[in-house]
Amino acid sequence: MAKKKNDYVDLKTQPIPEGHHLLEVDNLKMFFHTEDGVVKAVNGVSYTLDRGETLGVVGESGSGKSVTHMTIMGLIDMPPGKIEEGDVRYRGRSLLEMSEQEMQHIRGNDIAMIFQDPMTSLNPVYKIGRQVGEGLRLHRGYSKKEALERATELLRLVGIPSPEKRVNEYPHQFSGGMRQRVMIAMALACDPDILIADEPTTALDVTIQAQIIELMKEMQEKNGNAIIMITHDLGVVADMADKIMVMYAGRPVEFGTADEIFYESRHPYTWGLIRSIPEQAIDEKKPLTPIHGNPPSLVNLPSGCPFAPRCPYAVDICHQKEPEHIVTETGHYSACHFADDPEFLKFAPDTSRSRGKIATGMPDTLDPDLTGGEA
Amino acid sequence: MTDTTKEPLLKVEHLSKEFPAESGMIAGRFSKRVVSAVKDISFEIYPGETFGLVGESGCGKSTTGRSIMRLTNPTAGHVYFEGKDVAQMNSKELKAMRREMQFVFQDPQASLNPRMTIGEIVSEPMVIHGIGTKEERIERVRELLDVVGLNPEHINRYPHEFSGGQRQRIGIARAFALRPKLIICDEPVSALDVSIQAQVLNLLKDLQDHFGTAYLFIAHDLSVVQHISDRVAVMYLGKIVEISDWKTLYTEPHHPYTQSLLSAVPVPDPDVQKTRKRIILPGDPPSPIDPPSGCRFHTRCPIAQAVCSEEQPELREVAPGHFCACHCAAVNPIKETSIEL
Amino acid sequence: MLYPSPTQKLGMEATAEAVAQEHDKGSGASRTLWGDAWRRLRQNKLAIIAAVWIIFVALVAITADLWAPQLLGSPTAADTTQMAAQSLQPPSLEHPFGTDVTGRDILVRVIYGARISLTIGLLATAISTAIGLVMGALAAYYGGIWDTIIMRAADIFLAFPYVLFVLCLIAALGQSITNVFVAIGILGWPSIARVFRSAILSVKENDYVDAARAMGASDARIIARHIFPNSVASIVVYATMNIGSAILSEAAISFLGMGVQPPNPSWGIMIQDGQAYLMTAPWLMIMPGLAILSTVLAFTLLGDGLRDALDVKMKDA
Repeated sequence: MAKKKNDYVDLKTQPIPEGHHLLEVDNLKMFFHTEDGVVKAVNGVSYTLDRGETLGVVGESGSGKSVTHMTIMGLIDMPPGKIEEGDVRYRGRSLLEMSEQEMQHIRGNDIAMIFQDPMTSLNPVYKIGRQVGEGLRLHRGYSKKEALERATELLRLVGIPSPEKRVNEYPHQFSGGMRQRVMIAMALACDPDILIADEPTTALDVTIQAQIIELMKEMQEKNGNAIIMITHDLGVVADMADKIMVMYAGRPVEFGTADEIFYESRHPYTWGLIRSIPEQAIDEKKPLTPIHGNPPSLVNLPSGCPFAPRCPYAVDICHQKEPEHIVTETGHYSACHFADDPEFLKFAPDTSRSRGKIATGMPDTLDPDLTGGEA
Repeated sequence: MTDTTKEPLLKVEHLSKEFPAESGMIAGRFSKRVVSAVKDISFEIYPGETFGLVGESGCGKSTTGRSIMRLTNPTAGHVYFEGKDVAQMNSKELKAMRREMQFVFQDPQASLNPRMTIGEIVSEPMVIHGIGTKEERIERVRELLDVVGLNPEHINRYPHEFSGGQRQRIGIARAFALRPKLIICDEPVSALDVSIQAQVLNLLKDLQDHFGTAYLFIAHDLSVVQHISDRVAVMYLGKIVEISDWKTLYTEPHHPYTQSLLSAVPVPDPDVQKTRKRIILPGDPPSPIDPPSGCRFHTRCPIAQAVCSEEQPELREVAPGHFCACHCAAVNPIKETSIEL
Repeated sequence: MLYPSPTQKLGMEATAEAVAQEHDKGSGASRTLWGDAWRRLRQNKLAIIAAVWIIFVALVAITADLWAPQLLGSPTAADTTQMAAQSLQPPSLEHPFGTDVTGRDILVRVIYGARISLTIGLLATAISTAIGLVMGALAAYYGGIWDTIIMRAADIFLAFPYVLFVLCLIAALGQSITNVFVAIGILGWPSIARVFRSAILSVKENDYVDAARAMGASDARIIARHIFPNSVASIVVYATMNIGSAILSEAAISFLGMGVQPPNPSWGIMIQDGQAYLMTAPWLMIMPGLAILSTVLAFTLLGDGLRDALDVKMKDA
C-alpha cells in the first residue's frame, strides 16, 4: 500500500459516531445575494443518508437540486452565496465548519462527484490515465506508476475495453458513454463514501444511459458507497433510489422512501410530476395532466406555499401560510398543509399498485442470456 | 385515426442523405469518405395523423425531417407532398409547398429571432405569403397567441422576456399561422422540463384535434413519441428498422433494437423497474462514416446470426401495417406481456 | 481536474431566470432591444464619458469657424513679423496650448486638426465598412468559391505592410486629403469583412434562419430581417473602434509627410512639426499627441461599451 503524503486521517476510515448518519443535512439554507435581490437557492433542505443507500433528488431546472449539493461540497462562491442557516454533517463532523484545506481532502476522497456533461468535465489536453490517477496521487500520495496501474484497473472495472491501451488516449478519442465511464472511474478512484452524481445520464442516449445506471449500481454493490442521484427523470430514480427527495423552488417538498414517493405520495407537486409523464399505455392513451403555469422566481417567491399558485387544490391557507413539514412515523415528510388529511390524499394519482396491474412494454420471450455483455 | 385508404399527404421513397466526412475547402471537395446519415428510407404520412420518428442521437431522424422540408437537399430518393416531388419543385412551387408544411424546432431559444417581437415572429409566415392586411394579421396573431395559451397583450414583447415553455408556444403559434397540412416537429419538447413538456404535448394534441394537421413528430424519448403518435418508425444508424401503429410497436416490438430501446427506458414505477426484464445493449452505436455491413445493428444485436453481417435486411410486413427489417424477426415471435402484482 | 469548475453559474442562471420572470409579471409595456442596449450603455460610465468627449470634440471642430480664429488667431496664417515675435511661447492664458515656431496658436491648430482627423476617421471607416459589409456578406452567405476568393483576397491585403501600402496608394493616386481617406478606407475593409463574415456565419447557424427558410422566405428577406439585424451589432462595435485606428493611420501618414500637407493643421503634421523642438518646446508635440490619445481612446472605450450593451446573450444567459 502506498504511503500517505501527509498525516491527514481519512474521515471515511473513522467510525460514524453513535446517533449519527453517514451524511446529515439539517435545515440547510443558502441564499445568493445579488444586485437583483436575494435568490433563495437552497431553502431548508433536510435529509439523512447511510452507506449503501441511494438518494434520488428530483426536481425541475432551477429547483435547487444541483445548487444544494454544490453547497454541501463547498463549491459555491461565497459571496455572492451565503449559508443562512443549518448544517451538513459527514460522519458527525460539520462540513460547513471545515477549512478549505480540510474540504479539499473530503472532495474526491470521501465524497466524489460526477457531472452531467462528460464532454467538458474531462480536460482535453491530458491523457485519460493521468486524469483518472490524479485523485490517487493527490489524496493517497501514489507514485506516477502506481497511479497509472490503478487507473488501468479502474478503467477495466468500469467496463472500458483494453484499458492498457486506452489509458494513453485523450478524451476526444472516447465516445460520450465511454467518457461518462471514465468519469465514474475517476470518482471511484479513491473509494469514496459518497458519490454525488449530477444528472450523469442526461446527455446520453437511452441505451447508453441504461449501461451507466447498471454500472453505478454494480459499483455500489461492490464498494458499499452511498449515491446521491440528482436528476429530473423520475424513471431514473425509480430504477436506482432507496430514498427520494422532491425539490421545488429551492425547497424539499417531499422526502421518503422510493415506495412512499411513488405509491403513497403526500404532495400535490409530486402528483403533478407523476401525472405529467406519458405512461407506457397499452390500452387507451390518457391525456396528460400537466402542472399549469411556470415555476416561481426565486427572488420573489409567492407568499405561503411556493407551489400554491400552480396547485389545483390550493385554498386560502396555502396562499397565506408557508406549510411546515408534516412527518410520518417512517420519516416520510411533505410540505403540504393537508399531507395528513386522508380525504385530501384521495386526490393522489392512480399507481400501478392501486390498479394492481402494469404493462412492462418488454417481451418475456427474449432470453436474457442472449443479451450480450451486460454493461 | 390513420385512414390508410386515403391518399398519403407525404410520401418518402428511398430517401438517402450523405454528408462529406471532412469539412473544409479541399478535403470536403475531394474526399470520398461520406457520413451516411440517412440510408434508403421510405414511409408515408396520412392527412391528420401523427407519425413518430424515434431513435438515438445521430440516427438521422433530424436529417430526415430537414430533407423533407428541403432545408437540406437529399442525396437520393424522392419526397412527394400531395403527389408532387419536392426535389423537382422550382422556387415558386417550393414556396407554395412551404405554406402547407411547417417546422417546429427543438431549441425554443435559437428558433426565435431575438430582435423581433412576438407579433412580428408569428405574423412573419403571413407576411411572406402575402396574407391579409396588416390589421388582419395582427388580429390573427392575437387569436393564435390566445389559442396557444399566451396573453395576446404580449404581442409587442421580445422572446427573451419569455420562459422556455412559453417560447415553444410562440414557435407553435408561428407554425400554425398558415394552417398548414403538415408540421414537422423536431424534438419539440426535449429542451423543456417535465411539467412544461406535458403542457406542450397537450397543446399539440389539442391543436391537431382542432385544425386536423398531420405531424411528423421526431424525438428520442419513446414515451413521449408513444403518447402523441398514431404510427411510429424506429431508426437506427440512418435506417428505419421498424414501423407500426403505436400500440403494436409497444406491445409487440419485433426488431431487437426496438425491444432493447423499450427495455432501456426507465419506467417511473419502482415495482415495474425492479421486476421487468431488461436488455442492455453492449457498446456504442458505430460511426455512420463507415457503417457495419449487412444489418447495421448486427454489431450490438443480442440475436445476430451469420447472415446479419452479410445481407441487408429489407423492411418486411410481419403483420398488416407492421413492418420490420430483421432477418431473425420471424424466429422470435413476441407476445404481449404484463405483470400481475 | 476532479472538480472542473465550481459552477457558480448555477446560481446566476437562477437569477437571470428569476429576473426575466419578474419582468414578465410587470406592466404590459415592453422594452425594445435597442432601448435595452441604450439603458445598459448608460450604466457604463466610461463609455458615456467617451461618448461625451467625442461629441464635444466634434462640436468644437464643426463650429470652429464661428469663434476660434477670432479668439485664437488663424490656424494657417503665414509667417508675419508680428507673429514671429510670439514664436514658441509656452502655454499661457492667452495661448492655452502655447504657440508654434511661426507664432500660431497650438489650440486653434489642434481644433482645426480635429476637423481633418475626424473627417478622415469617419470617411475612411465608412469606405472600409461599406466594402467590408458587402464582401463579408457575399463570402458568408454564398460561401464556396466566393468565400475562398474574397477571404484569400482579404488575407493578401492583410499580409501587406500596412503603412507602406497606404503610402504607395497615395503616391499612385496623388496627394490630397481625399486620397488619404480613400487609401485608408480601401485598406481597412479586410478586417471588417472578416468580422462581418464570422458574425453572419454564427447567426446563420441559428434555427430561426432555418425557420424563415421553412416558411418560404426569400434570400433577401432572410438577410434583411434575420441575419443582418443579428450580426450588425458586431459591425457597429468594430466600426466605432476602427474610427480610432483610422485617425491613428492618418496621423502616421501625415507624420511621414505623405498625408495632409502644410499649412493644413493635421494632428500628425503637428507632431512632425514639433519633433524638432521636443527638448525646448515639448508642448508642440504633447498637445496634438494628447488630442490623438484622448480621441482614439474615446472611440475604443465607446466601442467596448457598445459591445456589452448590444450583446443579447448577456441577458438571456
